[in-house]
Amino acid sequence: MLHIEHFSKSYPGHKRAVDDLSLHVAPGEIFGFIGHNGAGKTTTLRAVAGVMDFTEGTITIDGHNIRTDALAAKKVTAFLPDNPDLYDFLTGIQFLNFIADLYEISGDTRQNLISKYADAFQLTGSLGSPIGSYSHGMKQKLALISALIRQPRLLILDEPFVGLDPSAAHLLKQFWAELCAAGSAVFFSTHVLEVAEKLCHRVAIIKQGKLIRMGVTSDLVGDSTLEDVFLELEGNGHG
Amino acid sequence: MAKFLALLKLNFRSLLSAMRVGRKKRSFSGMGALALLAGLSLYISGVYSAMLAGQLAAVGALPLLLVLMSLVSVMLGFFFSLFAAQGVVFGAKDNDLMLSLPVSSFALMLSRTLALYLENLVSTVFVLLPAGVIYLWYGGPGGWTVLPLLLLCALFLNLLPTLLSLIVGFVLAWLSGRFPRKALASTLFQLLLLALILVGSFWLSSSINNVETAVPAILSFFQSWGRPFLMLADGVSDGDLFQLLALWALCLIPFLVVVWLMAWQYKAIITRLSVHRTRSDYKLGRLSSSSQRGALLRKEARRWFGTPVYVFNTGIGLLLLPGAGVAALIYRESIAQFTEMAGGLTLAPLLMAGIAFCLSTVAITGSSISLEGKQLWLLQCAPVPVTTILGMKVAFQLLVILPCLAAGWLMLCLAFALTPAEWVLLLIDSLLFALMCAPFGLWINLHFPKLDAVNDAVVVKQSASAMLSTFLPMVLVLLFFLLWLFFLEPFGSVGLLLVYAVILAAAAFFFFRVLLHRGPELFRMLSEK
Repeated sequence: MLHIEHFSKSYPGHKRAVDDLSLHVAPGEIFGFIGHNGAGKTTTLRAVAGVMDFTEGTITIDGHNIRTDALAAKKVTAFLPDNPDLYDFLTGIQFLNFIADLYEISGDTRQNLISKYADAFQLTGSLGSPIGSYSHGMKQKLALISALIRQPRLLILDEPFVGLDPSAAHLLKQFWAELCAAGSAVFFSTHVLEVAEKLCHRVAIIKQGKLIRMGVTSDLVGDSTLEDVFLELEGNGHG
Repeated sequence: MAKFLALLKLNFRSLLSAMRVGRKKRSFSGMGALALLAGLSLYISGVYSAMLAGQLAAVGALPLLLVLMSLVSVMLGFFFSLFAAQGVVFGAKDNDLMLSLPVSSFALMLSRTLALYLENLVSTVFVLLPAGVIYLWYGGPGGWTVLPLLLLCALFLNLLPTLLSLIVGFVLAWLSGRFPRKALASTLFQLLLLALILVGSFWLSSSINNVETAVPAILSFFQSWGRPFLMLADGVSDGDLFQLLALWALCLIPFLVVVWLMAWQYKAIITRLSVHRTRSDYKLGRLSSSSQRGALLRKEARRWFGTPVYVFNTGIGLLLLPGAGVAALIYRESIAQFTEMAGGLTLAPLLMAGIAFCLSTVAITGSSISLEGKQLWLLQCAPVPVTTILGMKVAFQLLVILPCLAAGWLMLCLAFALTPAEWVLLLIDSLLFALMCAPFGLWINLHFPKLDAVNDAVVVKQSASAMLSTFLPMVLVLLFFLLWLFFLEPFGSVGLLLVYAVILAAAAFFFFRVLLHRGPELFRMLSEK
């Protein structure tokens, strides 16, 4: 589903944010991307989503190169940044309609999907209000609904559990499972290692822009915990 | 005191950084924007003062120049800081952080207000100083002490526009907390203010044209409501210390009283502003789909109509176009008499310059990229060609302009009794000017985006892109005016309109082409800014 090959990214005047990263995410897989602050997770996710330009390496989503076939790649992708800022001047339903129009979702389909996800997140009653009046959690839920109604082949999320209440976080995991059962994949970054250990089929650990460990979660963890593995890798100066 | 100075420094830096271009050389860019403000004030003051001084000197009323120009300085300062007060004093995004610091609400509010005061001081000084120089040039009484006294008075007089902006900002904040349709209430209030400013400007222009007969009426006004301005002129020209002290007290005392009263309720005011009510009774109805272009166009429209500061800073020209048409129709006979007296002088190319001036103020695209701000990611990850995204921003500006332009054009053509060829060419030129401005504004904004602004007012009023996309087309308007002035005879009216058309067609083609070829790359690079 997602193929990242030799991806590198440098910002002007700074050292490499990501250095020669290669990884694959298979259909039906939940893939966790772990690293300390500034390790290069967000840079990678933004490049995959087509939000950020890059010159080194290739990224393909469902067979579409994000640089040379960007529109087709974006069409099958949904991306949520760590703190999704939405249009405060639109109401919730206007925003969802806007997104549905950009992704060319038919009227009936969007109605069914919005109803399903907004009811589940208990947001339907507030969809007529301006987004500017929403709390942080409500905005987070609306952003998630806008991602889920696209029925993406690849769902990319940066720290998706920040700001979500426990029931919303539980629902989100259920919807991920639904997506993966339908052959889609989830690629997300997190600092919550317990969640990553329980949810992810595979994880990758990145440090100072370099991939230092990747594999099936159970193999990587062994008899230990993901937290122990992460702290050990962080401490012994790998990469 | 150290805390207060630190707050003042922070708030002034915040105002300056709002005007900067790019990330580097912050203070230089902020200072550059202040220099632009100073230049604009200098220009306005120079033009008005020179026009007024000759006529006033002829009727022995030269000190009125200082009276009128001090009024202009207050109006200009008020106009520049009107929306800034709302954003800087009442709508700042760092309220939570600031209120959690061990500083009093009074110190916080005063520091924010004084930051505004410092910004206003630039325009006040650069309006009063040239007026003083021209006043002395025409032999006004008072000698060379006039200039230092004027500078001293500027420090106090500048409190008036700051105070007015503060009160208006407070009223807007108050309206926001009480009306369900905040944007509409705010828009209506600002429309009222704009009407008052326009009435004041027309009154001033009319006074300039009829100084001899207007002197008694002007004096009568300044002896009542405009007393402080008269005090300034008397104090400066006669060196009357009593008048000067009275003026300074009249400016300082209300300012301190209002700031103290507002500071007393400051925390309550900004807390009220931060509270939002969300309804919970929405029921999902039948939804229908539309095209990507339609969605983007609706989004642009909702942003524009839903952001009063955006409407008022980019919509004045839209009101002026039909407004000028109506005024021209009302004074149709006077226009006919004037053109006959001027030996059948044709005004079509000058009309074009006037229409172009109005259109250059409608720089909606000049802020439309900056206003995407932190929501830019939504467009960047959408499966929509960048040319479509940019195209819809251009299209929205044109859609807003066209009805007002058509109405204004029709009425002006009727009022000025133009020939059929002039009708057609005036329309073509106006359309071409609009077609040039829309992509030009967007191109400027792609080069000078302000994606991290603390509020919309900063983007629309103070950003480099907003200023450049408004003022640079005005340079072309000046060129049109000069062409009319010096080349009307050899080219003739139709010939000149054709020259305009060629220039505008080439410029419009150039900017559309540049936007098409360079726009997508510049748009993608925004994520690195």
